[in-house]
Amino acid sequence: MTTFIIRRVFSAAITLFLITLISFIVIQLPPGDVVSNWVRQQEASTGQPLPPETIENLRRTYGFDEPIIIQYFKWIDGFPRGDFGFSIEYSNAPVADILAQRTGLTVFLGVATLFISWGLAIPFGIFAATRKNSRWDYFLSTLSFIGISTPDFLIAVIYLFIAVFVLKTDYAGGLFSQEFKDAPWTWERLLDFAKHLPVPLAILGLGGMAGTFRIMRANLLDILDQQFIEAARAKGLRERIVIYKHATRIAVNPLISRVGMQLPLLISGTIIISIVLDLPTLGPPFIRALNRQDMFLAGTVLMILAIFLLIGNLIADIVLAWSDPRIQYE
Amino acid sequence: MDTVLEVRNLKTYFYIEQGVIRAVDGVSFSLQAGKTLGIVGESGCGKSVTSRTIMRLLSPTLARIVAGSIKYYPADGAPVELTQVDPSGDQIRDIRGNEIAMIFQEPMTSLNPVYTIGQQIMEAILLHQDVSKERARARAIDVLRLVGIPLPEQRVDQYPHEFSGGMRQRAMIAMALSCNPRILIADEPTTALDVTIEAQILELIQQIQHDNNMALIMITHDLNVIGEVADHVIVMYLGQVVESAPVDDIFENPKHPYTQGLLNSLPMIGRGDRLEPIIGSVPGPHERPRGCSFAPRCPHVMDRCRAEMPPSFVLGPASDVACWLYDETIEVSHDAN
Repeated sequence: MTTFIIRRVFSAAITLFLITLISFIVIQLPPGDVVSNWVRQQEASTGQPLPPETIENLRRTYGFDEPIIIQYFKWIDGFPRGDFGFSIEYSNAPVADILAQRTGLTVFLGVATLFISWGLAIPFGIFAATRKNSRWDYFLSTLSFIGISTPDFLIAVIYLFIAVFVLKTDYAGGLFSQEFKDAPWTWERLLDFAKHLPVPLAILGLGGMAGTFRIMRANLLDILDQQFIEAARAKGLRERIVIYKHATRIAVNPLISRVGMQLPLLISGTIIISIVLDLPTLGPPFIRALNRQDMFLAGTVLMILAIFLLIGNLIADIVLAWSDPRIQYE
Repeated sequence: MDTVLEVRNLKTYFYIEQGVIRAVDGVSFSLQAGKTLGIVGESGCGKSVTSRTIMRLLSPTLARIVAGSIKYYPADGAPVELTQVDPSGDQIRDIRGNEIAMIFQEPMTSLNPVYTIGQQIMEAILLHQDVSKERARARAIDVLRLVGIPLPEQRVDQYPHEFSGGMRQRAMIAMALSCNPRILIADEPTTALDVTIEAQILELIQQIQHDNNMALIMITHDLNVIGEVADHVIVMYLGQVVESAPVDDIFENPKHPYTQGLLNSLPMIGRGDRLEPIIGSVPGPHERPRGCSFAPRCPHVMDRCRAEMPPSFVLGPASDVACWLYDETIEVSHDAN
C-alpha cells in the first residue's frame, strides 16, 4: 500500500511538471502577449501610441524578451518560495496573493458541493432503481434528464430566481457582504459567510446531482440483475440488506472513480456559475487571465486544477482499492 | 416415504408489456427426503422459473402464480403452502437458505465479489442460527472442508476472485449447505464447469445428500447429469411436464416423442450411428401452438395433437406422459388428486 502511494505520488509529480510546462507554452502560443494586450488597452484609453522603447523596456523588465523555456524555468524557480509570478492584469499583484483565498474557498465549495450532490443523488438513485419503471422512477429520471440537458449557467439563473423571488431569500450573489469581502477572517466574517453559503451551495450541489443520480441508478440496476443478488436473496436475507450490503456497496464503486474526475470539474466547470453568482472562486480570475494572456496567473490556475485532478484521482484510487478487493495495489 | 415437497399443477405467468408469458404452465411433482428429482428440458422450458417459484424469488410485479400449490413439509409442524406466503415476509425468509437452499448455474457470478467467501457463508449461518461470530466462522471453515476446499482456514478469508470456477461452485455448495437444508435446488450447477470438475461436483453433491438425507432437485438440460444423479425425472417442454418417470424408464423406455428425441440427440461413447436432432426449434413464448405444444416438431404428430392439448396419461405407479399416443390407457389428470 505504501509503495503504491509513493509510486503514485512520484508519477503525479512528473505529470504535474509536464502539465505546467505545456500549459505555460500553450498560453503563449497565440500571437501577442500580456504586454501587447496591456499596451493596446493603454493606447485605447489615452488615444496615443506608446513609444516602442517603452514597450521594449516593459518587455525587458518583465523578462519577456527571453526564450519561453527560460521564462518557464524562472517562473517555477520561485515556487519553493511561494512565488508564483505576478499578474499584470491585477496591477502587478503577486499571483499567490490573488489566488490564496480563492483556492481555499474553491476547495471548500467543491468538497461541500460533492457531499451535497452525493448525499442526495445516491439515495435518490437507490430509490429509483429499486422501484424501476414505477411512477417515482419515471418522475426522477425525467427530472434528471432535464437537469443533465440544461446548461449549468441557466440552472444557476433559474435557481437564483427561485431563491430570490419565490423563496424570498435576500441573497444577492457572492459569498460575502461588501464590507467583509477583503477583510481578514473574524467571527463576524464567518457568520456572514455562513449566511451567504446556502444558496450557492444548493445551486452547485443540485447542478451536479443529475449526472450522479443517473449513474447510481444505472449501476444499481446492473448489479441487481447479477446472479449473486439472487443468491443473496436465496440465503433468506432481508431485501434491505440485499440492496444496501450486497448491491449498493458495489454500485458506488464507479462513483468513487468518478470523484477523481469531478474534483477539478467542480472548479473549472463552475466558472460560469461563479461569474453568474459572483463567487470568489478560481473561475473568474482564470477566465480573465486567459483572455489577456496573463500567463503567470493562468498558468498557476491551470497548475492548481491539475493538482486537484491528480489529488482527486489519487484519493479515488486509494479509496477504490480499499473498497473493491479485486483491485490490486501492485 | 417422507415427502418434503409437493408441487401440484403449478402455473407461473409473466405479465410483461408484450403480453403474458406462460413460463410454467401446469407442473406437478413430489419430492422425497434423500431422493433426487431431475428436471430436464431445453432452455426456456420453465425449469428455472419452477425453482424460483418454489423459493418465491420472482418479482411479484412481473411474475404471478396463477394456479396450483407448492406444499413444503417441515421436519416438525404443519405443512406450509408456499404459494400463499408473502414473498418478502419472515416466513419464506426463514425457509430460504435454511430449509430450502439453492445453488446457481454461474459460479463466477453467484458470489459477491467484494466480500470474502467466509463472510458470505457466515452471513447465512448468523441469519438462521443463534450462534456467535466465532462459531459461525468455525462452521464456515467446516463446510468448506466438507466440500473439499484445501486449506479452508486460509481460504475462508479469500475473495471470490481468488477462487477458480470449480472452487467457487464448491464454495457456493458450502454456503448452501451451511444451515443443513432439507431440500437443495441445484439449477444447472455444472453447466459452466469443465467435465472433470463436473463429475467431482456431482459426486460431492450426491455424497452430501446421502450423508444428510437431503432431498435434491437437479435442474439441467444435460441428460448425462440426470442419468448420473436422478431417481425420478420430469421432462419439461414449454412450461409443461411432458413425461414423468423413474430415471431407468426415461433412459430405457422413453415414452414421449420429445424424451425420445432428446435421447436420440445425445452423443454417447461407443454409439456408432449418427445423432438425430429434434427437427425445428423451441417456439417463442408468443407462438405457443394450440394443441400439444410439441406437435410442430413431433415425428408422430396426428390431427388431434394440433387441436387438443393431451392430458397426463398414467402408465405406471410412478410414470405418466402427456401424449395422445397413449390414449388407450385410463385418463387421469393431476387436478383430480
